[in-house]
Amino acid sequence: MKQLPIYEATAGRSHLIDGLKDIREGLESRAIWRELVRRDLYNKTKGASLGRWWIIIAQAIAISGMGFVYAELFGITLANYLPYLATGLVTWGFMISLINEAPDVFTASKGYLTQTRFPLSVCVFRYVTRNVMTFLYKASIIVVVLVLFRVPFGWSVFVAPLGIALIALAGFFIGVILGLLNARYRDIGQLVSSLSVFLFFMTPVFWRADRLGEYSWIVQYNPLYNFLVLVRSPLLGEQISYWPFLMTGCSIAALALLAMITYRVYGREVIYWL
Amino acid sequence: MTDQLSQSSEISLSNMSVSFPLVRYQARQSWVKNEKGKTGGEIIRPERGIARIRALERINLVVKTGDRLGILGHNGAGKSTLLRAVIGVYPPTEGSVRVRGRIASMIDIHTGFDNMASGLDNIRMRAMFMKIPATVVKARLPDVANFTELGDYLNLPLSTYSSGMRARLAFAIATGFDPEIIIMDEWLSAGDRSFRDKAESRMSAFVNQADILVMASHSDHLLKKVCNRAIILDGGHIVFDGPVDEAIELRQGGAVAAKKPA
Repeated sequence: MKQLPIYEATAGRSHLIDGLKDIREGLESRAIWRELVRRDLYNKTKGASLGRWWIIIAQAIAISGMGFVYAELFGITLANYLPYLATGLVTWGFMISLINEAPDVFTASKGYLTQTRFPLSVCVFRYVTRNVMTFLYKASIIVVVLVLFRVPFGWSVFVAPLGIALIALAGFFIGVILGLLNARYRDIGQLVSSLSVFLFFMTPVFWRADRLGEYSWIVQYNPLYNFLVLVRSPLLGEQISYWPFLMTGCSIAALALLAMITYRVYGREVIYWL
Repeated sequence: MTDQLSQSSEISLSNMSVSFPLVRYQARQSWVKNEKGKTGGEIIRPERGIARIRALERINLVVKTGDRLGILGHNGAGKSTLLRAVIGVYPPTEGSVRVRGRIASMIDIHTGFDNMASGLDNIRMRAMFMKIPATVVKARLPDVANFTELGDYLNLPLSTYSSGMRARLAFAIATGFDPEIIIMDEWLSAGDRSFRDKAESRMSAFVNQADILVMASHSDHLLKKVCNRAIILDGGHIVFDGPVDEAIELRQGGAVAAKKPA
């Protein structure tokens, strides 16, 4: 006789093992979040005939505008500045949209979550994948700029994909943390969006950290900057010290721990708050 | 126990409660002391912390293969919440739920539809949301597609469909695969007069092949025709569990409240 599936739920807080089960179920339902990501990307460009190309075009316009103005303001040649800015802005966009969209991870899937049983992780995978896809589209600009300005390549270039993977992993945990918290306390989403511009100017994305002079050590403790360095420096053929690895590693460990705590406290009740 | 051997479908709820927290809601002192309402679960206002609505309280229920369970009760009695607890949307806030068998929820048969995709693509997507394996979908696709009688429209995007055509598509998919357990909020039907007869016989066949049916309904006629067992919910409690005829009689007589168990 065929094996029948079993659904079982007992009252009480969710355990770590429930979380792992949820993630496994989420991976098994990857067809669902792939489909949802496809729709998200389609909706982002609202049926424009150029479709996803607009993601690239918008980013290219921003980079060229900022590139000309700030190269002049900082007194650097375009050939020096544009590769730095392009890699910086694109990677920054990846990180900040992961942060900005994290609070809505579960609230945005309310319709699905309240109609059928859905692993919660599907919502998180959907949001991470959507952002990775958007980043990969925009990364085509990086490739063009690097080739155009003949930035030398080295073996260290292979660190960049690792950096990208680490950002995606951190994004997964941030989605769990902010998504659950925001389902309960809607102020979280407001707080995060008010912080994002502040973070942009505080992080050396379009300016160089050493311009801060004696204060430049401060940015070394900015986790966002360390994730950024892990992607940007290898692409520009710069040396990387152990420091960004240490900082990003610690950040991910801390985020993982926080994600487990928020899941344990809020994971079970989230459906009642949507 | 014969759990592993028999592998029959079963729903079992033990001491299960579901209560909804009232977040983002500021209670104002009401002007009038309201009389106890006739609908809805009890509202619990603790001294500290958030108020909750107790939608279901200590439900004990076992539904076995062969059962065609009807759920009766007035608005806000907890019928939909009970259905959603069984399909796994609401985890219990007390007690436990255990369901063996593949569940098909007929509560909202439009979930997962994409307006920009073709009818055929929507059949695949909707099946995906119902967690039906790709091989089964492939085998059943022609049957579902033919049943809709939508012809060439199946290759056009859903946004070109009338609401009736949309309902046909949703109905055909919902009844196109055979689950062990069917969860329903009122009987399903679709389409115009000629389609309605076809839909009716398909629906009956669909329900007959299932091990278990759980259906909330306000229609006495339907309950008598389809169900072989009924429960009455009142204020989140099961106040009656037994034959359908008796349940309907009880509810009409209004004698239900008196039978509330301790």
